[in-house]
Amino acid sequence: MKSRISIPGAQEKPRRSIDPTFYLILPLLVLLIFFMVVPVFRIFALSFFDPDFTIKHYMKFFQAGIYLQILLRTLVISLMVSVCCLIAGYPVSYLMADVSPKTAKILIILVILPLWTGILVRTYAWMVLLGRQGLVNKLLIYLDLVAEPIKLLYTTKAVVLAMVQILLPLMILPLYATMKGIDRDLLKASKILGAGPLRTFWRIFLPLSTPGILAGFTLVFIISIAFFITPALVGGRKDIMIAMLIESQITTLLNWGFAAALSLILMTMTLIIIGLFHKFIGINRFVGSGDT
Amino acid sequence: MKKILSKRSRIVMTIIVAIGILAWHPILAGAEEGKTIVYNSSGGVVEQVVKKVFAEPFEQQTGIKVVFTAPVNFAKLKAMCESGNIEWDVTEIGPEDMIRGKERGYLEPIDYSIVDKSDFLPGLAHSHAVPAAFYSTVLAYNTKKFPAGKEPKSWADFWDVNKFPGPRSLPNFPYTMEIALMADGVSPDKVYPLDEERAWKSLDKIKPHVTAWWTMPAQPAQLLADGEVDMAAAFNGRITAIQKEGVPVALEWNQQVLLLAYNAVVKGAKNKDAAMKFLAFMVKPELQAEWVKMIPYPGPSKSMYELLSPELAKTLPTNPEFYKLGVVRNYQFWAENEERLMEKWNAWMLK
Amino acid sequence: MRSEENTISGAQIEVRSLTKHFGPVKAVDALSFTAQPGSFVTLLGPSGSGKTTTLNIIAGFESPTSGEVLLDSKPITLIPTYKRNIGMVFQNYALFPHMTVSQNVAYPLQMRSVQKSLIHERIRDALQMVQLEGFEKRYPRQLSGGQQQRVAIARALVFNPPLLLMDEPLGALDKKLREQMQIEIKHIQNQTGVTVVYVTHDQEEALVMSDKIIILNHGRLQQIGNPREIYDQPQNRFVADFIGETNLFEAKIRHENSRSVVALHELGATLDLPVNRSFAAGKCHVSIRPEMLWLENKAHKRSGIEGRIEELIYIGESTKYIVNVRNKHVVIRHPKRVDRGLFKKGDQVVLWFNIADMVFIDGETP
Repeated sequence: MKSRISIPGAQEKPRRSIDPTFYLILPLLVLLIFFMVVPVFRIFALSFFDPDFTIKHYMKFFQAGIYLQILLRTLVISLMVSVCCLIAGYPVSYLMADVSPKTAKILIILVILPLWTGILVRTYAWMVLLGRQGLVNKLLIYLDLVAEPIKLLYTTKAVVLAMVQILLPLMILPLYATMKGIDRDLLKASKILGAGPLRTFWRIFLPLSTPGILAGFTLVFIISIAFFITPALVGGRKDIMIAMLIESQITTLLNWGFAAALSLILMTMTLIIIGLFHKFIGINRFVGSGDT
Repeated sequence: MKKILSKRSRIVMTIIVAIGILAWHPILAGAEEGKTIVYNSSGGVVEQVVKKVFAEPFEQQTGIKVVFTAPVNFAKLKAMCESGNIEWDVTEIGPEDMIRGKERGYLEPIDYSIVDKSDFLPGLAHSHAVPAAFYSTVLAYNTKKFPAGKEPKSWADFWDVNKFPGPRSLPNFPYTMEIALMADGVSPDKVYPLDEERAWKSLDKIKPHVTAWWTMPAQPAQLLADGEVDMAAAFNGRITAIQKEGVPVALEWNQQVLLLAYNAVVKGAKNKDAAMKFLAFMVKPELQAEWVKMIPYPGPSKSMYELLSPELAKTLPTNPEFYKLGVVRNYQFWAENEERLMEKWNAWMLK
Repeated sequence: MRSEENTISGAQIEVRSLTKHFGPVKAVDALSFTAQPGSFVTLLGPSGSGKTTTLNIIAGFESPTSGEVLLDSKPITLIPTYKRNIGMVFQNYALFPHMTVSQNVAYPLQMRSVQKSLIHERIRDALQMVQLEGFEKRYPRQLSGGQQQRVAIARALVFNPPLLLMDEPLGALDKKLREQMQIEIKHIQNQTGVTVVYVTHDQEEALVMSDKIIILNHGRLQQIGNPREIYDQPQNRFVADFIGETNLFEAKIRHENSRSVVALHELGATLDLPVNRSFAAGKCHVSIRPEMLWLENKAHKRSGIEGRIEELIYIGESTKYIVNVRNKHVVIRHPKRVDRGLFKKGDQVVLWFNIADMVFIDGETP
């Protein structure tokens, strides 16, 4: 905008002393400082001092091509998982936001239910399903679709599938919350203005659900990036994710400095990607301030 | 007056609490030097068995009490040695940590005038630690797929995908290079020094036939039990366990890779002499036999096999009959090369 | 504004015995009415009277249980909403929050594949009509309530629909702005010639704006008429009570000799009825508007209906009195011009009115 035009209740931020409600977030703030900010700085220091200042860990990362390769692979798998979660979760959320509150409640419980079982348990369940003697192969053979068991387990597809199943609730919940908040009159307005159901979806519903898409996508992407049990158990030899690398640097090789450097590189990459994503999808366009 | 009284009573309370804490603390509990040693174990079942098999008879014989702490933690060891406040006398220690501990001067040399190494299996008397428990990586296979007479007998057979078809599983660690060398015809006693070039070439041959590269010790046994693979390099204890559950698997001791954990005395231990005595006590064959009846990871004694039933002896990697077929992992080599080889390993995996 | 833009030929809309059930509830019950081309018709009633449901059926958001809606004599009940070509303004404006003002207004044109160059022109004209030039790039949240309302109107009319539906469009505005917008909407309607079906629960708004008012209660039609008819000749107690303020009295008409008399027993009065009209004998109700009554000091009058002032409310333009007549409260309103502030609380007064200002409402309410 060229200039701020005074509109009652909008954008006016008068200077004043600290809002007393600020103190409500104080406990969380203290918690975050001690368990988030301080450790991040510790890791930061760990990656640069050994014990004197050094950038050898970072040199190692960028010189040996393998680490970049693994980072890239991690990002690609996480992206695939996030996109698949979105594709699978969007219609479910749409349904949940559209049905009666009673049915929605049941659906929410069904969505949350898997969160009560551990990641390891659910990963093992996928191993049982996708194995050579697993249910899927048995069914395929029974139906005469294949003669020999096909390789499903220990593939990238298996990793993505298992991770999508594990992370899907984290996509659905923010999507549902956003969709629930969309004023149904807007859809009616679109229809009476001449847009059919499909165009109403594309022009109105989808753009208005982008905050939910962003929230869900960000959540799933960030958690995907740190996955290591699932890819280790159901992935093939090429499905090395960076968290697995960090874990082995810490527990087997005791090279904490390099592990710290890996963690920081991963964190930076994640922030950059999420930042770009938010910029391009343009969340600020209609939820933030109007000065875009 | 009231104030003073309450202040005094507070002081009294503080002293009582302090005494309570001191009494509870393992080191100060037996302030009499040489009469108590502190043993740092991994806790749990191991601690209970050590207590029952070794510590209690030791106290009866020598009057020296063994107090336990847990868990095993290299960072704690490091902190103790660097601050000079040594709380432990003896500690369980993994092989890599033992090597690093020795190099950094955290460990006392073993006094082999006290500890009798004559009964040790050959080549195990380490200068700074006494072997405590062995396990091994063995070739395990599905007996339905490969019945008696048609079973694989060596890593060369494991590599022979024409004669022994079927999916396989190997560890996702550079240690697998040991196996690869034996598969290529290197005899167990010639595995070290490791011929890396030859190992990679050998690994390239088996790579396409490995369905699952395992990272967790429980995995290979599970893979065999589920029929996911027909052959795997696996830890012997896990295979024996699923055999008992009726899973049709067998293991081949030939060309086994032996791994072990140690007991060591911490540098500057307050009760060094008593600690050496305890280590000497622990390696007595009759006690070693008692230990292995309870925990399937045998110690270094070879004469204990005279005291064991053949059924039990058949399941143990240090059984002299099997021991001579295998190779003990050279941790000195891995301490020096693991990081480099791990990087190479990961790159090779992605290729 | 260019002349061809502002001549929408309004459509005739006809609702024929429209019925809508929600489970056991009859939201709309056999409603019929017609809105002539270019007229302003208001559906008026309390909440739950079925007025919004009726509007939703016309828009196509709901389908009727039975009955029909005809637009220029063509039934539209089976046509999907987006093909009906009807404009609509929602109670909370329903502006698309992720679109600017001009994008909002362009939306219906884009849906109709209007040429880009033309769209620009039409947006300009529409915003000019609602006096919002210069606001094209703003987002709805950067506008005040009244401005949002104008955008909603521009968007609803930019594609020249023959019918405009408005669902309590002024409900969220403050009184002053509401009155201003009422006039403006009327003005735009006159300018464009669009037929408007307007929903409100505000009887004053209905009176101000409508050519025709349709009063609904519990899904049933109570009365159709122009504002004057509705106000002056309510056909039942509901209408009399709902529209404006009134005093309702039980009455009994009987014929004595050649004359008719009405007994208002609550007031203790029996009055002669004019001879030029005929009245059916029997029980009924009588409605007298507060502004049709006046007070006089008891001391000045010989006789009449006597009471005591219980409450005196000064409204500015007028003064409202609540007078106790035999324990029944009667409301009287004196316009400023008449009232001189002579009465005070507790005064004994005499109540007067013209017999012609009595409205007789038939027997028991339907």
